Amino acid sequence: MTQCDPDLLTTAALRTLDPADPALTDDQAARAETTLARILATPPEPSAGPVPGTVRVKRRRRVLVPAGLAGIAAVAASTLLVGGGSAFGSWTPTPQALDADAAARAATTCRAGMGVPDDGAPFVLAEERGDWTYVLLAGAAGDVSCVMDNDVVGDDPGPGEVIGGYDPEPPPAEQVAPGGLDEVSSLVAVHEDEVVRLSEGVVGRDVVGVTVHTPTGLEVEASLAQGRYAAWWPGGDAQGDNPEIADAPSFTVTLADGTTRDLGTAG
Amino acid sequence: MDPTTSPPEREQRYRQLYGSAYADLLRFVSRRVHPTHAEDVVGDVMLVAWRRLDDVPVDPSDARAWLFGVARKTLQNARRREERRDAVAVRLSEARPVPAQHGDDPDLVARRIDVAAAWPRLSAAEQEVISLCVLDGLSGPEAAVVLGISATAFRLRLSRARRSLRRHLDPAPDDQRSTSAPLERNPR
Repeated sequence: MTQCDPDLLTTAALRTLDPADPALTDDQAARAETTLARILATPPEPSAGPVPGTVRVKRRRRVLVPAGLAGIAAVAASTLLVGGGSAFGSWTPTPQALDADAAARAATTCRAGMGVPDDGAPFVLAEERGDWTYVLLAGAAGDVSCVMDNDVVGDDPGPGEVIGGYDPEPPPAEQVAPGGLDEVSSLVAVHEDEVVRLSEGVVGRDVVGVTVHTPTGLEVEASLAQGRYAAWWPGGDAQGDNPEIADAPSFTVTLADGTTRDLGTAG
Repeated sequence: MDPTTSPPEREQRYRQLYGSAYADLLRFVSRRVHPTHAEDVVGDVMLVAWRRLDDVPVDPSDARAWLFGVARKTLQNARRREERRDAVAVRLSEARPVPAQHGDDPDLVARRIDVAAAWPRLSAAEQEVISLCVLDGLSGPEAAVVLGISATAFRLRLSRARRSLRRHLDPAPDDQRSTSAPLERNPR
């Protein structure tokens, strides 16, 4: 077995604190026999129920005010298997830009993880929030974006190591009014019993900043480039009544003249 | 596994599984719940294994990981939603300072106290990840099966949890040491 921890002293100390008895007591062994007999007397039923752990991720399109743009039908759902914990303790509401080399490696891992062919499209957005990297790629094959642990960047990812979405037919950017924002993709993923939310879209020409106000009260600064924005955030426990699953975020855009506009959600 | 295995073969296979896995499973559960409750949980898990024997891996180590995964889900399902994270928290024995005896490494004695103090500061998830390796004795891939994640994801979680434990064990230079009873630390 591979070493649990190079710190052997801590490992040894921990083992001295093991609350479990090394061997069954006579009473425990006797009760084990009784339980076995009881179980064997139960008629075996056929296996039932789905294997817990698989999660369906929906990719929805929502359009925000100003009015005038009709709602767009939801695109096909992509299914993700993700694996996780409060692994997002290091997440930051303000992103750090990635250098080109790290972004390129993240792009490779993203394509591999999402099963998207490498069409050589450069990244549009690449950022870091704590121990996590996000990258958005836009190419002939469509838009693909990923969230991944920094340690996986550049590697061939295993199942569950990349959280992301793939949209083969993203909308053209020209539809967005000046000062407006169109949330093209609103992704809800579950990573180790924790919700991960991803919001991506396009912004009008004079928008220089986007802040996302999430249903649980986070203020997330989005990354912007080439008329696109993206932001992602951890959303707490994956329960049905979690507002991060049921409710929509709202947005504040900062314009080139320094003013801000609040944009609610619609539709 | 052929689902049309005859009843006597099925029972024999199950008896073998039961005999080889019961003690490890009881230890796994005992680290997470009060001892009086542990055997009930083990009984529930082994009943699931009886009903879903066709899903249980043939290899004993893989079967053990499968059982631990079911135990984990059983513990979580028994708690209210807001407590599910705590369901996988791992309890440790109390580390009462004991008089040093011949052969006791004083560094180990001291570290034991520090680990016992640091442990409650870890999240349940961090405790679980470390315990799966150190106490429950699972390999990386086996532990990943228990948690339902990839082996690499487990490796990442373990390294994060170890970092967290290390941070709690090595206080910053300007932190005060806790005022517990002083230990005999004379070098031998």
